[in-house]
Amino acid sequence: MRRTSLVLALSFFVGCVGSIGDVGNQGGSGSGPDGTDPTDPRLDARAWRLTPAQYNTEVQRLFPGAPPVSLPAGASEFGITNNAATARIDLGNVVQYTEAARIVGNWVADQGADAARCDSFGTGACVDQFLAWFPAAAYRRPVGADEVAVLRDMYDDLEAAYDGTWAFSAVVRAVLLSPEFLYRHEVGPEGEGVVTIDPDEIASLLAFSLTDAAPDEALREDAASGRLADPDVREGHARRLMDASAPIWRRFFWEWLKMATFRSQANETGLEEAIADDLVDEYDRFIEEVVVEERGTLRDLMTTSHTWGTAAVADYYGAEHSGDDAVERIELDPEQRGGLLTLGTWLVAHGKDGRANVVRRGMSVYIDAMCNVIKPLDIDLEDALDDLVGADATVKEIVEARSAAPSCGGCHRTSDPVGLAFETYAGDGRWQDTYPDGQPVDSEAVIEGVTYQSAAAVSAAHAEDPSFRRCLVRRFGHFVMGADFGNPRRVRAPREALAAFDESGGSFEELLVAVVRDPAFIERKK
Amino acid sequence: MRRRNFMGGSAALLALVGTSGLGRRSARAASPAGPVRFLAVRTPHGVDRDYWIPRQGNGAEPGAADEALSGLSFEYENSILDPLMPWREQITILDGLDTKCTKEGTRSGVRTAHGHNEQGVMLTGAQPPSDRNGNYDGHPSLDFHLHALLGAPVLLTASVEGTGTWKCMSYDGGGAPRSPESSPDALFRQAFPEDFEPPNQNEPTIDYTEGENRILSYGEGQLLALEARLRDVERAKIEAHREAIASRKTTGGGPPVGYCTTSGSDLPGVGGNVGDYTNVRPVARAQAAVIAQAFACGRSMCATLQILNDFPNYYTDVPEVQASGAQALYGNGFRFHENLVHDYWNASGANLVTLREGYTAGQRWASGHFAAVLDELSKVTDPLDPNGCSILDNTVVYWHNEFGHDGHDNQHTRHPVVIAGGGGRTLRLGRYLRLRDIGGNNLTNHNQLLVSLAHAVGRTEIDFFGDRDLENVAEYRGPLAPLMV
Repeated sequence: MRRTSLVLALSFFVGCVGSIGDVGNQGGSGSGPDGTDPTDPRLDARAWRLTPAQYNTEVQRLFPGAPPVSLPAGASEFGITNNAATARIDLGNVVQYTEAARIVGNWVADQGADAARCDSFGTGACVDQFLAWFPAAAYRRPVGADEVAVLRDMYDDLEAAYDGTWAFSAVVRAVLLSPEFLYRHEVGPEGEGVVTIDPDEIASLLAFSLTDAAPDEALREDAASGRLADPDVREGHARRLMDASAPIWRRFFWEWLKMATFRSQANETGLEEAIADDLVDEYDRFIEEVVVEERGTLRDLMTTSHTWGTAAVADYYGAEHSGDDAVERIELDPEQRGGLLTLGTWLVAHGKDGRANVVRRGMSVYIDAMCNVIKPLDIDLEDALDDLVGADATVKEIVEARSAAPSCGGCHRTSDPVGLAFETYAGDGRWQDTYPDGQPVDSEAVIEGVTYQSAAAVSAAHAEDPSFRRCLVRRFGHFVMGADFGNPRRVRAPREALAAFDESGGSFEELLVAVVRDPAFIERKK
Repeated sequence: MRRRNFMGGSAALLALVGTSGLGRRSARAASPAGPVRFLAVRTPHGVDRDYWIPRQGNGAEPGAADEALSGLSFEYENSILDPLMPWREQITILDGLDTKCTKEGTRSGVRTAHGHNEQGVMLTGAQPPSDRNGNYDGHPSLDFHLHALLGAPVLLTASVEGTGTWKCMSYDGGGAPRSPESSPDALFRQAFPEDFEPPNQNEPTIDYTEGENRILSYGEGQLLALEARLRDVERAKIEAHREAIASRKTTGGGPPVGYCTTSGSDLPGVGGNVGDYTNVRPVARAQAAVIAQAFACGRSMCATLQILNDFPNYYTDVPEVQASGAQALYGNGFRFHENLVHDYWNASGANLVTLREGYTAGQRWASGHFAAVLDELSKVTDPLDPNGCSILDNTVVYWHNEFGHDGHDNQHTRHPVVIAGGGGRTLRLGRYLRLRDIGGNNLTNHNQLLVSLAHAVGRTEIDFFGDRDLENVAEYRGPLAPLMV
């Protein structure tokens, strides 16, 4: 019963008639309040909650060896998980924060002098030594004597009421529950209108955006000297921190291309757990090597026909490997593999068991990677199916019929050919010349009048595609800033970042530099 | 260092009532009298109503719109709810419940159809968003809302697989989806800190309330100052944070901590990795057991449990589904959701018989998950109930499906809903309730059910729960009358 694929395809998108095109200002604070210029990219003054990973990294920076704590992630937007507006602490999750602080606070008190970095734990002198460094380190800014005094008073009062250990823990807990620790502030000085955020705030924004960690010594020094408002100085830090930015790029591509489904789809498609683990490691290494180590371009990302992995990874790709367990460079068949979209991780994340991958992979590129939207409408899927093809249609016939259908073609005639090109990969991402039922795979795809013989060729074409590049820049800005600036065609900052990206030949480093140099990076509306 | 500060100052140790289960279906001698908790459970794939309702002995539909389940049966061929037969006294079947609000379309940006991402309607009572990001625009789900009112420390949001915010059950105060926790071990750790110890009646308890409040107060002033420097969404966000901190002070940690026997080291040892259909039930049980423990120890009053989504494809591997012959119709690409759920409605003849057998077999498997959840809740004696009844007796459970069924799939009509537990104090148990003419178009609304559930946990001041545009529409207000005692 070949109807399976089409039923699956239609059911997934409910209806594929609707508006197509770039996303407008969908949420985020890029559009600003009513009455302001919608092309103004400046965000509102805000407080951006640390992510669970950032929280734990910060705790390790303050107290090496402290136990990791479990905290809630914020809601995602377009797959991007770290958004300033939706990362909340409220009635639903506040206990996770109070418990996290308690766990760390008790651990610190149990460790005593080592964790407190004092000479004699349990003494007033130790508390003073502790307060001389801890609040400032936790708040990522200098603290005033009045702030220290409040904490010292708290210790004294609680030490008298209970005991010194409980009181010491309480001070740690109070600081870890403070909004000065939990949030990265981007508020700037008092007043209304457009402001430049404070130097320490810029330092935190730069550091967390580029490395997922607090400002290092160099950033703190430039913050102290007030130099971070200078775009040249920010550019210098961006180029310097590029070496430490691999985790950021890994997460960006993973989220932008909606690869969070990798594990569930690996499970569904029967991909062995061990090779699934290896493919994630391969993805990490691929991004690090191409984007960070080699300072590659978008074209490199979309066309590179080598990767890095174990012998199992090489076997997965049908490639050569020296045979031991070491991770090494693997040369792939350029006719079969070229770039990120032909790696196992992306293919599996958007793969299924069966023959529905045309729609899943095609729509992933169409919606996720090119920022298109589909507005589902109520249509009768069964009737739509009956109107299109007979029971024995091949995958390609289904694709052609769907693209020609008035109700579905609006979206599918653009997305399906892309998905068709990826039909040479099974649901588990392995190469296939035939389907499990023995029928040959016909993946030749015609996209906007151009015939492509392989997914690698389609992938390379996307590196040059304006919509693809525009979407990447928009989502990267969203990722770095935790809010959507809006469409580069209408909003200045992403438009200029896109121009810099294009002029550099698609350099990721230049894209990053363009984002942090822009005034919108450090200016907020109040 | 021994600390009990997580209990706050309101810890009131109750008499030891033991924790061995009283047995299924409650051999209780007295009426339940503990605080009522709330648990929502969701399973996927819809149902075929004809095989979901109880039947008379002659196989006919219930003869009346309001009928005791004791006179009806789930034991018939292809019955979906067959695993609930032993629980008839403690459940009520709601037949003909609709998410009518879905069709209102009172403002732009909402989608007037059910299906997929619109599952959030079931607990938010709000019109679904037109985009697929699932943000319900300021409408929290009922579990979140009640959690805020009931004051226990932790809101538990659990799942068996299905993590991420796609098709969520729980939504925060801003209407954003809350990602569920799929690992029972991790869920347990959310509920019970590592150093949690059950209270010891023989040991004097230090009241740390003042110290705890001092800690919480420290950040309040900073939050107020920050709030004053922000506007709009950002200000509201910090205000919500400040209110959450304040609630911790005033409640002192929620309801009194009973004599639970769980300690922080009692991890269930279940990581949540399913991998195979045979592990779905054990993971669901483990999640339910954690929820029951958290309810018993006063750590939580509200929870959601999402047992699978329309993927992965575990239903396909269930032996009864395999035995139906459905796979032979589709070959290697056989998928429960697409082939059985979506193809079902258009099939006829022998194919329909085959698909029905496979479809109902899969949904019967899901009913078994729900029965397992009830079983886990019934195993734990409620330490806060002076009459010694079970956690199930003191928990209202709302089981619903990802979508309704009205001769087709992905519908906003005739959502299959089962209410369980709660001891029959507020909501009638052991009933079959047909809420409307099943073949007609006079739709009911589930917003009233959400109000009923709020009443069941004691929040009788709630007269409406759901979409802000419907708050003053009379038919959406008040509880669902046929369900109320």
